[in-house]
Amino acid sequence: MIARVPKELEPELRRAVRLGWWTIGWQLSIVALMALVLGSSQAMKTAWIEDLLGLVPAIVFLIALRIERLPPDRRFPFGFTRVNSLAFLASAVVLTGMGLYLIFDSGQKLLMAEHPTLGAERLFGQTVWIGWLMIGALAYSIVPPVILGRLKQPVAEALADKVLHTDALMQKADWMTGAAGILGILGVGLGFWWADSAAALIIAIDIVRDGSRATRVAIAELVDGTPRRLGGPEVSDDAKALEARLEEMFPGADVRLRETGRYIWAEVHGVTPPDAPPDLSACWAGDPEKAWRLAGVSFSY
Amino acid sequence: MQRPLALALILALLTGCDSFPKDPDGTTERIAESGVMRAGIVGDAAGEAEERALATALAAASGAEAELHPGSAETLLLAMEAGELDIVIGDFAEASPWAGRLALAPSPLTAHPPKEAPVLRALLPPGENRWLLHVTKTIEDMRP
Repeated sequence: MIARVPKELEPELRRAVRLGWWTIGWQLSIVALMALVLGSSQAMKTAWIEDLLGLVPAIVFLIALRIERLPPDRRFPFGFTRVNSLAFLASAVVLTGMGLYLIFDSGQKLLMAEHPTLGAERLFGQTVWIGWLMIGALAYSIVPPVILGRLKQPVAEALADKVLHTDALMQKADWMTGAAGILGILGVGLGFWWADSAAALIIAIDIVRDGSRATRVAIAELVDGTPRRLGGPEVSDDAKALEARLEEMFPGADVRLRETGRYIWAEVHGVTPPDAPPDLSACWAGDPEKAWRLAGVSFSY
Repeated sequence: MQRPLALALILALLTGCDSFPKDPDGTTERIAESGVMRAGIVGDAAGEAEERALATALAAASGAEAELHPGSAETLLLAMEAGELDIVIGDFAEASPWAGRLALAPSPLTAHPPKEAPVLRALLPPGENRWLLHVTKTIEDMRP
């Protein structure tokens, strides 16, 4: 049995892929622009790394989507719908690790009272303080992620896609990175050397927060947790309704739900299986638009 | 988050482009007030005419007198790191190991010397961004 996204959702899927490519394109332009004015500001470096890491969820999504659609084979009889979460866990660990390193790096600069040197750059025959160029690049870096994040969120909800949804939330919050970076540079301009490392520290903490949120989302699925609400640790309403309906249909049964990617599988234990397999749509009691998520109900003693 | 950002921007504009960026340790102001620019000159007291000329010119552009301290590079750079000098002038490469610890001003002789080639230039205390901007602009105006 192959779990498939229903035909009506194919346009959403294509839209998600398009948004993934748009993210890679815009994010690369931000990374390139920021690299030009990187200088020795710690806040700038940290914001740059965060923008670089912002590429990862989009890439993971595009690759995982391809693998997810491969048919099951003898060696992988359950298909590949969980590849998404596996790749997501890997990138979440990288994100957390990088964030922890940046907290250490920025904290060390703060403790050592390192004064950031922001020199001058020749631009159109004028000598300009590089801080202004950094502020310009940071201001640019705020705009595309916020727009893309807003566009992705409804698509992620329609597709019940955890990776895309977490990516959208991170991007929507990304403007804070740019704002913190700008405040850091302005602070240095006003003569507060610590403003730079302090801003970097805030950004690094945000990276760790993103990373740990993504880790939690991936772990809930990989250890066969009950399906969670998108972007949160609570059990989803659809799962609760499905569980209640199955318990009603099979009194005394032990109902277990788990998620593989965007699909939900139900196991009913401890009852005599019915002669004919139940109609999946009859078991689904949640949001009718998400009925496709129930990919199978199986029975065992 | 948005309000302090706007506030910081307004503050930055109020202080005006003339006094922005500021020096955390106030090097520029101190030179202007005391009328003395403490310059380390790499080499001995007799030679190094180019370095001396650059020090004098930079001091003049800051409305100050150059107080020259000849010595070895290591001694002078450590003294500057300890806050005892405002500038050290000598032959330094862009790839100098000191570049990460101190601020590097451009060379008055050429805009793009090879990274590894030591050329006449000034090193400044780290993070004194107004002082660095001022010295950079002055040196760039000197170029032929």
